Amino acid sequence: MFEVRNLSKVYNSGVINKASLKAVDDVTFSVDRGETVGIIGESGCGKTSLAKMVLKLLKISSGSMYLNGEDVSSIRGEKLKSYRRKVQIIFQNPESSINPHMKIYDCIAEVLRINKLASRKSEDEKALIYQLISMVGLQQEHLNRYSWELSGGQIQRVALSRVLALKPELLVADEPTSMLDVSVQAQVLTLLRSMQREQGFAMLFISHDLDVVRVMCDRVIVMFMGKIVESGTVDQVFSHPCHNYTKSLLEEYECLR
Amino acid sequence: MEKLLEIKNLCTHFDSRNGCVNAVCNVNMDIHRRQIIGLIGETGCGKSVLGQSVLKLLPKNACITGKILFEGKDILKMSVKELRAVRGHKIAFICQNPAEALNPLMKNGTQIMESVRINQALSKKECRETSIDLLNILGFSEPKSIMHKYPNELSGGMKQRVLAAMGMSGYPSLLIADEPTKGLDAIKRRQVIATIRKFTETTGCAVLIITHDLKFASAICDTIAVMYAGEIVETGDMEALFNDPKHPYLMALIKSQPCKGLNVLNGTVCSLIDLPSNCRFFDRCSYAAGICQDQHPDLLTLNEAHRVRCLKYV
Ligand SMILES: Nc1ncnc2c1ncn2[C@@H]1O[C@H](COP(=O)(O)OP(=O)(O)OP(=O)(O)O)[C@@H](O)[C@H]1O
Ligand SMILES: Nc1ncnc2c1ncn2[C@@H]1O[C@H](COP(=O)(O)OP(=O)(O)OP(=O)(O)O)[C@@H](O)[C@H]1O
Ligand code: SF4
Ligand SMILES: [Mg+2]
Ligand SMILES: [Mg+2]
Repeated sequence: MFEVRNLSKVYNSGVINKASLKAVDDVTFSVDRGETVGIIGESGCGKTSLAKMVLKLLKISSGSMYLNGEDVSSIRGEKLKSYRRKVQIIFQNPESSINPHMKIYDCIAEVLRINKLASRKSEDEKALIYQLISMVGLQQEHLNRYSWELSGGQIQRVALSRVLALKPELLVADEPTSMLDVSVQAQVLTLLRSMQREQGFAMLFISHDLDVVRVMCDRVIVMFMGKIVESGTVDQVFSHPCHNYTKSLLEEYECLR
Repeated sequence: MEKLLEIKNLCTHFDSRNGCVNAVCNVNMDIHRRQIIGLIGETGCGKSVLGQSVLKLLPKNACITGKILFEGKDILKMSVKELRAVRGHKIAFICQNPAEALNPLMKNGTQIMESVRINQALSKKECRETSIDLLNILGFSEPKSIMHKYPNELSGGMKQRVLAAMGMSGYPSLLIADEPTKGLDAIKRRQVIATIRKFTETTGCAVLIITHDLKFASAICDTIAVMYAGEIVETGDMEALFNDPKHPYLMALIKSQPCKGLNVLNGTVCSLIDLPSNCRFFDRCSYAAGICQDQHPDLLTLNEAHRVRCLKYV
């Protein structure tokens, strides 16, 4: 359903001492409807850059992307707008996606309004927002607060509720639970899974927690220095890793038990 | 062991439009030299606020009461000047959100060197070397190129470690690290563990680690404190706590790990605005009994090292 071919990202930095860095290097993979593909790898190996390109928040240096067979690498205008609605992300740092000058209620309402899911200040809007926040386990008192008055985990749930309202076709989750304690993580992961079953979206799941990847993903991609070094079903990769990096990652992980 | 920090009846609340948010309620905690103590608990239960209270790093609407004795002196009563001498110098704080803590307009190198310079009387060249060393031990393979970059050119996990380098630069006697392993892969996480261990052994620094990562906590901490809805509900030796958890919340927390079956703890934490007068975990507790409905449990001492706030053990 969603496919990426030979995608690369080069960052150029420095005005005088020009340096370029290949953060994502010739990456090819695909995700199907209802499927979850995990992306694991070293910190700084280009996972977030890849996610941002999929979201079209970052310019592609080379390569192409396809959604439902249609080339979306260089879409613009109305098409880009509709793409942005179909493909959603949950960020590593949820604070950055939530406007600190707006109450949580308005942060959620904003998304509903922009996408015309409910009319401004209507009863429908209110009911929908109440339904959304109870789905992610928040209470009504939180709606009246600003983002800086919530804990990290609470903000992440606000971000999640906004995404779920849009019923995306592809959801990119960039370490969605790195801010949450394990009990809330269990809630959010089960929530994500059941929403996926209900709405059928495809998911790209970036995480450092290999246990989480194991329970959430069907397939997994291992990245190392911008390149995909290994991919396969979760069982294959976790029980019979081939690449040295995957092996050492798994070994280090097993050490902490 | 010598007591470094003594927190006594600490309460922190925020005035908000909807009423008073009781983020930290009556917390008592001792931290000794060289001790590594882990603070775990539900998101939003007040862990970061507790850590920030120690350095009075809270917004204006916060009200802190109780005592925080650092080397015998009450931090809450210190003058601005005295407080400045403690902050960053003697107590360093690595905050939860690296993106907000780093100045986006300054190069990483400048920021690290700045914090080295404030803390140690060194020449510019020595500052530079110290900074590079710090980045090296935190697992950067090319520390020099990191120094030349701006924070937004780094990945999430890299920013986290730059922040850690800044926290450690002053050789503080207490390091408070809020989620130091967030966003790090397994290999980097092991490096952080080794670094913190070595740091406490060589400098005698005590570390308060706020974390969600139970495996990390069990690999590094001597002592664990578990918070729930603003209160400490269980404290004790790491081994005892994880091998034989007493509080129903901790039991549920351990079972909700993905490797232990991802068992969801149903319900939500009670509101910190109108707190119940009985046990705060009552609604979600699978061991709740009649008395739990009308009594608020005190912290009960099971043995010297292990304390729990639950009526089940009375
Ligand atoms: N805006 C930018 N300008 C220049 N370089 C950048 C920029 N953003 C990221 N990089 C570099 O690109 C590389 C990949 O970064 P990215 O954020 O994609 O990593 P990541 O895999 O998400 O890591 P983490 O797990 O730590 O979040 C890093 O080496 C980083 O320094
Ligand atoms: N400035 C503020 N005004 C009002 N309430 C606040 C403020 N700052 C924090 N809170 C509330 O205090 C409680 C404790 O927040 P804190 O950030 O300490 O949580 P935490 O335990 O660190 O959670 P997490 O693990 O998600 O970071 C939360 O319920 C939060 O909503
Ligand atoms: S006091 Fe009662 S309700 Fe509270 S945790 Fe203990 S058993 Fe559960
Ligand atoms: Mg990232
Ligand atoms: Mg916190």
